[in-house]
Formats: sequence, structure tokens, C-alpha cells
Amino acid sequence: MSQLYIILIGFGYLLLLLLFAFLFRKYKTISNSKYAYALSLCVYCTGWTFYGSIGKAAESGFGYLGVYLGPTLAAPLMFIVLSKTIKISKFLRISSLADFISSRYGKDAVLGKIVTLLCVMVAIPYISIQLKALNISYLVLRDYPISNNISYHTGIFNDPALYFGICCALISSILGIVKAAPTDGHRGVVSVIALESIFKLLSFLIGALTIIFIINNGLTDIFHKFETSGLGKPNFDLTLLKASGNQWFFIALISACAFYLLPRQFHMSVVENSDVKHVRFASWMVPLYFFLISIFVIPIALSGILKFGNAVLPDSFLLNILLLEGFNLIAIIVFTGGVAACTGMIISSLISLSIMLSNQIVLPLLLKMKSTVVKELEVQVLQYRRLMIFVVLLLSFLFYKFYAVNYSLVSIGLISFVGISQLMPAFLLGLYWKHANSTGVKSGLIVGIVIWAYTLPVSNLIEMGVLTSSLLEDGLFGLSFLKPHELFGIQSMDPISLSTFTSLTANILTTCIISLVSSTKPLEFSQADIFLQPDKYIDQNQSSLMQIEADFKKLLNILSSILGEDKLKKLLEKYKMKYGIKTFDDYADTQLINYMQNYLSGSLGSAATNVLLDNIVKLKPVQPDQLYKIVGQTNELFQYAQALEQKRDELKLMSEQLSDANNKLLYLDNLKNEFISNITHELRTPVTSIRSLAESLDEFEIAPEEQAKILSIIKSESERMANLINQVLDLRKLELVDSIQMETFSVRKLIISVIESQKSLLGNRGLLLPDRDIYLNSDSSKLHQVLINIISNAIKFTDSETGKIEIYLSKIKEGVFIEIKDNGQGIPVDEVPLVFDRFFQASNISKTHHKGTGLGLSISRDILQLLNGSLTLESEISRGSTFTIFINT
Amino acid sequence: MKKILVVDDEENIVFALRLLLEKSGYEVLTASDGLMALEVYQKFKPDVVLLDIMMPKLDGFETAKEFRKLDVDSQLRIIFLSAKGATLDKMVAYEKGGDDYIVKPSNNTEILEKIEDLL
Repeated sequence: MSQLYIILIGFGYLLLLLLFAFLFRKYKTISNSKYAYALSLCVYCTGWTFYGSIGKAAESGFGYLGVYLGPTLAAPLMFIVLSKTIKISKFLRISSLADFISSRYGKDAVLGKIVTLLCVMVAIPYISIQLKALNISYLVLRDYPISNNISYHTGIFNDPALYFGICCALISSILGIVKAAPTDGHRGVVSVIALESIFKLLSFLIGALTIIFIINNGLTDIFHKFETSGLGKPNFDLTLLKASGNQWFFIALISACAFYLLPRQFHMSVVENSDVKHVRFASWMVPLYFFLISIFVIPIALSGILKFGNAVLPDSFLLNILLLEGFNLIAIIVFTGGVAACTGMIISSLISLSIMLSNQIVLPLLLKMKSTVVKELEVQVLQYRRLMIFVVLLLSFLFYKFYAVNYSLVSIGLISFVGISQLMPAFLLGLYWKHANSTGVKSGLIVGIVIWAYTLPVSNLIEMGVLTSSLLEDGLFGLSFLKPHELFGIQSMDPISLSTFTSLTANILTTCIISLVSSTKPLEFSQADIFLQPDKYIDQNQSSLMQIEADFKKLLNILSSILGEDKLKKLLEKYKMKYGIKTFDDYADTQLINYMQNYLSGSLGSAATNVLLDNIVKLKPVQPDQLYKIVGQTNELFQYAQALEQKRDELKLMSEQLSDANNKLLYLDNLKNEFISNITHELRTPVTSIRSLAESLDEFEIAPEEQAKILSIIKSESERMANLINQVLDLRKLELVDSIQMETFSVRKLIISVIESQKSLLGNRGLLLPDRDIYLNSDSSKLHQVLINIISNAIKFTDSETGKIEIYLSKIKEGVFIEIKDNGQGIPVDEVPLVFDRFFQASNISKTHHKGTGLGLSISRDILQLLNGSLTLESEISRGSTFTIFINT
Repeated sequence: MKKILVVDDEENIVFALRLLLEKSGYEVLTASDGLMALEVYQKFKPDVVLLDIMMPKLDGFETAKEFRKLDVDSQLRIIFLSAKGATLDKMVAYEKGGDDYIVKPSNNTEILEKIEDLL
């Protein structure tokens, strides 16, 4: 077939595709439909599927099925995991898989870079096998009939794969790099990939059906021919599958991982998703697609073996059979379907990788190199992304030219699958395990990647002779348990299973253990909470628990240089509309900053956004009420913070209590000292006169009338001493709860008898006694003591000329009131509650004034408590005092 | 006859001291607080004052200060007589112009000896 003809058809197809894409852009209902979404996920089926499955089936029977079985079995999970991922990504405007993982673990830029590099490492060989498939199909078409030992080594510029690749890169940069924020939607991309998916399925089916029903007489015919041919090479005996059971398991596992985590898969299924609800449809539509595209693989493989044996590359059976039988038109259709399968993969991979590379690596680097913010960053981002598309393409092409030519499509694909599976722990734990942190994930990833690289790509390179080493035979450092294909002494597994098993196990264990033992930053906690419970945040439209603030002018400055003034104005208007805000304060609040962060993250990624805004955005000190609000939202982070706060409060309280206790002790100590000094004074005073008088009686001649006077003084002073001693002893007695002698008595009479006993002290003070009488059943001698204390106080603190003491009696249902009111100096209001403390002396009693023992009121209150009553005081300085005795009846 | 002024707010102590001093041959003047004591001093110019410290209106220390102001020719002898027995109180008493210090409860001999010493 003529070279020009083939090339025209191939590129014509791509041109047509581009036209359709532009057409579909206008019809959003098509590109935003669930059908387009589900079909775009089928970008999973690449040139590897299209050609490689048949090759694999020709070699090892049902082995090729594992790759479809994994995602199919995981489809029910898809609904749960993918829906959650999409919700989070839309909310946080996640732009790529690397952005997703880095954002989950506290916007860790290093983690974002590791993920990006792994994705590039995995995707480049994968893209290169697409290029290889393109080249093979082209060569088959051009040079038919060909032999198995045809050289695929064409010159670089003779290789059509280069031009297909460039076309893909152009389509990618035209369709995929329209807006800085991928989440803003490139519906063109979705429709192009969906179209390619339709086309590759249809053309494959056309080719397959032609071979089965036209070239052969149906399936039974093929199987019959194969059985009678005596060719036993591929073994389709299902019992044999049991032996390689673990390989099936591991291939299914890594395929399921790849279906979600290959950069292009994440891009199509999450970033380009237009509606979360489409996931439900896709979760059965995608397995159906897989079923259709893999069902006829075996018959074609058998048919190919029957026709060619070892004569041609099994990967190219489909085309070769059609050409052999003269179905050139069908062959062209199949070839175009192959182009669709390969280019679909290349286009979506280039777009997703370019976003990752520019946001995770180029931008942060750029921002670090230039201290000032780069002008019109958002526009520049697009340029960098376009550049990255071509860089990735170039790397893939080089890889294909120098490495992939020697390998079958499937084996390189599987190596990539194991590599990308290393992201599964970080991804799934991030969605469902709150303790997973950045340190743990980074460690796990690195351990997993190292084991993967050692057991697969590195040992492959050795096997190919690219590296020369005795590693395979002797193991690393000559340790036999470190042999790449018998790692840790496991000999029963094939290299893919062994690598998957060891790397993922080590990855998961390391992630979990390091996460548990290492510390987690607050930002990680708060991001983790969003990823674990996105609905909570989406409902409240609040993307952070952290309260942050920034200088409004500085924020605008940075934003305007990134976005340009016009765009910033529009954005601010939009913000005002959304939140109903009229003016802005000098300080941008959390809501505004989050809004802007979200907007920027969409185009620049969260890591770069963090770098940009890091200098001006500050954590606000958490106010207690905010803390309570946040704690109310049941968040691990703030439970932790609250625990700390509590500890601090407890400490504060304890130190306050200690200081209080200390003050109280000091106060009591002072009272005690004063009490002792008062008691001493009160004891010494009567003793002074008693002693002196007694000595005088002894020494001097004294007239009898004078003697009588002396004796009466001695007697009264002795009584005074006895009283004091009794009072002091009363304190002890009260503590032991004295017995109470109840009797019914006249309260008025009791008051009068108290006044009588104090008569000598009354002087010219006015006295008002109650005019009514009340009979009370209580302990009269104790009440007598209380009344003496209070009335003698009233006398002591009133002026002997102008003083006035009034006593009132009243009765209510519950009991009896005795009020003793004076017009004395009173005491300061703030000392009123202290009056009943033992040894208390009011501060306004002049130092020279007679002090009491400071026990009277304290004892009185204790007595009244004993009598089921109470004693209260109302007093104000220079307004006098009123004591109210209440006794319950 | 030497005049002695007894100042104390405790009526019974004043009585006891007056009895002792009169029987010992002194002329005794009395006052129940500091202000009254200053009045009596100006009127009768006593030779010795027996001065209590804790008293209403004007305490012993303040009274002593006033005595020293009035007593221009330094004839007056002041003996504090107090229930406060701490060394610090004694020191303050000398500072305030006291010539001697007696702690209550005192005995008669001690009082008479101190007065004689000062005269």
C-alpha cells in the first residue's frame, strides 16, 4: 500500500477529529453528557488493547483478560471512590493527580513533585509503546506481506510515529490548554476522547467480525480448525490458570489501580468530569465496553496462529489477516481505529502530564528563582504547559526509539501499571484514613518506588543489556535474597507479581507505620478533614478550618500581577455577588482568601498557590469562641487543640487556685498574728490592774471603803479575763458541735437582759427597743451570747454622745427576725462578706481604737447556724450597720 | 512633790496606778486619752508621764511626739506602759521620744524604780 495513501488517511482522520472537536464545543449537551464521560474513561483501552491483547492471547491464552478484569471488578467501588474524589476535586479545584495527593497531605510541594516524577516515569514508556504501535501498524500496512524479522528500526524522520506524535501534541495544546484551570472544562478534550473511543471500538469490532464471520465461518469454525491443526502453542485450558492464579490476582489489582491513577485516567475521570452523577452510568458502561473490546481477542489470535504461525508479530495479527485475505478497506478502517486508540492515549496523557509538570515542578521553581511575582502568571502557565507537552512527547519518542522497540506492548504496559499502583496507598488512605500524613506517604512512596524500580525497570535494563551487572544472578551487594526476581527469597512468583506484592506491601506498611509515629502539621489535619468528609465543607462552602487573614492591598497586588487587573476586577465582582458583600476591609478574611486560593489553585495548583500567597497570608490566632465553633464541627485537629487548650486552662486554673490558696494562707496568717496580739493585749490589760492593785493591797495601808472598791475592780477584771478565755474556748467547742438546750422564752426579755448587762458601756447613746414581744423555742443562752456580741459591737462602734441603736423584732411564717441597727461608722461594702471570718478586723477601725478579739461575729454566725438560723449584715461606710438575725421556727 | 501624769483608756488601770503612786508620795494627774493628756500637761506641767500606747483619739506614740514639741526645756520624762511587749515596739517607743518602757502586766516595784531613776 502506498506510503502517501496511508499517511493521508491517518492524518486525515486526525484532522477530522479536530474538526469534530470544534463542532462539539458548541454543543455542550453532547460533550457534557454521561455518554461522553463514560466513553472518555475508555481511553484506558489503548493501542496496547487494540494490538497487544491479541499478541498476549497468542502467547498465553486468557492472560490478557486480567487487565480488564481488574477495573471491571472494581467498578462497584468506582461509584464510591470516584464520586468522593470528584466532589473533593471540584470543591478544591484540583488540577491533577499530583495536585490531589499533595493537597490532601497539607499541600506538600515535595510530595507533589514525587508524584509528578513517578507519573512521568510511568507515562513515558507507556506513551512510547503507543508510538511503537503506530509505527508497527503503519509498517504492516505499507510493507505487507512482511516477515517476522522485519526491522522496526526506521530512521527518526522516516518514522510516522514522530509525526503522529507531533499531531497529538498539537491537538493537545489546541484543545487541552485553553484555560489555565483544567477544571473550568475542556469539553473539546472529552468529546475528542469519546469519539476516539467509539471509533476504536467500532473499527475493532468490524475487523474482528470480518475475520470471524467472513474470513472464517464463525467462532466454532475457528475453534474447530485450531483443534484439528495440532498447533498447541497457546494453552486455553482453564485449569492451567489456577497455577498462575497469583499473577491473575496481581494483574487485576494493578489494573484496577491504573484505571484510577494513571495520569490520563485521573484527568478524564476527575478533572474533566462535568457532573458527579455521570459516575453511576460509567460504572456499568465502562465494563461493558471492556467486554466488547476483549471478547473477540481469542478467536482473532487463534485465527492468526492458524494463518501465520510464527511468521508475523502476533501484535499485528489483526491487520495481517485482513490484508492476507484482501480486505484492504477493512484493514484501513482497523488501522485508523488503531490510530484512534493510540492518539487518544497520547493526547490525554500529554495534557495531564503537562499540567502536573507545569504546576508541580516548573511553577514552584520559577517562583523560587524570581522573588517577585511573575507578571500575568496565568497566561504564562499556558505557555509552560504547551512547552511541557512537547518535552514529554520528545522524551517518549526517544524512549521508544532506543528502548521500547525491543519489547512487546504488554510487558512495558504492565511495568507502568505496577509503578502507578504505588500511588494507591497514598490515594486511598488519604480518602479514608485520617492518620495518614505527608511524612508517612512520602516514605511509603519512596520505598515502593525503589522496590518497583529495582525489581522491574532496572532489572529489565540489565536483561536487555543496557546495563551490565551481575545483579540478576547475585543480588544487590551479593546478597541472594536481594535478587530482583527472587526478592526476599520469594521464588514462586513471576516478576510482575513479585514486584507488585513486595513493593505494595512495603509501601503500605511504611506509610502506615511512619504516619503513626511521625508528627502531623495542622494544615495536614485540616486538609485531611476535607478529604475525609468533603460533604461537610461543600455544604458550608468553607474550604478551611484555619482562620487566616491577609493585608487586603498586598493580596490584591499579588493577584493583579498574576491575573491581570481586568480579570481581578471581574473576580472580585463575582465574589461580591456570591457572598453579598459590598465593600472590603483592610484585612482580607478567611472567606476571601479561600476563594482566591481556590481560584488560583485551579490554574496553578495548590503547591504553587501556597508559595505565592505564603508571604502575606497569616494564621489568625484562634479565638476561644471560634475554637468552640470549630470543635463543634467534630474535627480531630481541634479536638487536639482543645485538649491542649484545656491543659493550658487547667494549669492556669491550678496556678490561680494555688495563688488563691497562698493568699488565703497569708491572710489567715495575718489574722492569726493579729488575733494573738489582740488576745495578748486583752489578757494583759486586766492582769495589769489586778496585779498592781493586789500588790498595793499588800504593801500599803488602805482605808476599808477603798479596799472594797479595789476588790470590786479585781473581781470585774477577773470576769473580763474569764470571758475572753471562754470566748476563745467557744471556738473549739463550736467546732465539736455543742449540745443545744431548747426552751421557749420571750425574745424581748432576752434583749432587755442583754442591754442591762451592757448598761455601763451605753453612755448617752440613744436606744430603741422593740415594742412587741415574740416567744421563741430555741437555746436562749446561746442567743444571749450572740446578742451580747452584736450589741456590744454596736456600742463600740458608735459615738457615746450621738450614737443610736435600734432593735426591731418581726415574725414571718418561717421564723423570727431580730434586727440590730446602729448609726456608727459602718464598714466598707467590700469587707462585708469578710466580717464573719475569724479574727477579722475592719480596715477603717483606727489603729488606736479598741479592737475586739475578732471572734465575736464569727462565733455568732456559727451559733446561729447551730440554731438553724442565720446572721447577715448590711453596712456602708459612715452609714452604720444593720445586723439581721434570723431563726427558723 | 513631783507630779506624775497617768494616761490610759482603761479606767481600772488608771485607778490602780493612781493608788500606787499616791501611796508612794507623788501627786497624780490622770487622762483617758492622748488629747486629754496634752491638755493636762499644759495646765499642770507634770514631771513624768506614764503613757499607754493603744488608746483612742491619739495613740501613745503620737502623744509622745506632741509632748516633745511642747516640752521645750526637756524637763518631761516619758515612760511607756504597754501591753505590747515586742522588741520592735520598744525600739519604736524610744524613737518616738520615750525615756523608758514598761511591759504590762508590770509590778509595782518596777514602776516605782523606773520613775525614781528618771527623777
